[in-house]
Amino acid sequence: MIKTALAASLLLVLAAPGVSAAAVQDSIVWAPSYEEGLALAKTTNRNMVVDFFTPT
Amino acid sequence: MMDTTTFIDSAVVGFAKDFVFAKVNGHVDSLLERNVGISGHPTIILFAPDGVEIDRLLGYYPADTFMLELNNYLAGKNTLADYLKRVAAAPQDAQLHYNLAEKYTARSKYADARPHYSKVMELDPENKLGLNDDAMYYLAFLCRKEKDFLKAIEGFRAMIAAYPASELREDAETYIPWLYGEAGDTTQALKYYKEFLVKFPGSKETEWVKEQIQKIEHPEDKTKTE
Repeated sequence: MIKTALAASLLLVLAAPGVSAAAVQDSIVWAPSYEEGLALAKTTNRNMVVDFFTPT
Repeated sequence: MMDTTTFIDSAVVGFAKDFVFAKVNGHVDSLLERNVGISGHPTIILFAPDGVEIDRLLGYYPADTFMLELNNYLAGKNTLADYLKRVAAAPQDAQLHYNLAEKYTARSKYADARPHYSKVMELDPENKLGLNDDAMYYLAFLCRKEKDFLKAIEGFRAMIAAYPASELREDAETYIPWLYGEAGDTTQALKYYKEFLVKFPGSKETEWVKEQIQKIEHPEDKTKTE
């Protein structure tokens, strides 16, 4: 019964307006490089978030 | 660390669909890092579609504050430009000067940061805001970044003397021997690394400090492995 209720809730959430397919993707899509990311940001008119990191 | 926490958080994954996300490995693309003034890792920079920086985050951010700060930046809040305006409107506000100094520090603009850290202490001589030990620490840290190692040591010592109970004391005490090493004085470096182990027996830096001692006492071990 509880499982059924949870499943129904999940379906409602997924069907809710504003929840796109991209919103339920399971990971961030990373551009292959900074340069390609920048080109994509320009062509799609999106802001870009760049993670400058060093491997641990 | 953000790869295993913030960037896999379901809310951040949803949030990310409206942006282009990219990574830059500082070990591989040091030229780009220098060009954008990276002062530490991780640094997250938010760029407008035309490639102009909106602002940046320095250090680890959990999912909720990561999204909150990026949204603030998009709204023009808490950015460098915002703090410049706010400091101009309230030049006697020590907290605003501190926030502005942090913004410059994160951009590696140390000369611009310095007067604002100094202003924090000038405006709050009794340290009512509790920012003065941080300001003194970062003033010493700026000297370290500018490779003025002896001045940095002097700065960290002054900070420890003025605020011995500061949360930053342990970090400052780690820097002192490291700075002696950078200045070429391995005798003093060794002395203060050993003192550190006595003063802070349970420190998270213990292993690192022991490695530094080993490198100084047995430099031939390093040569063998290279």
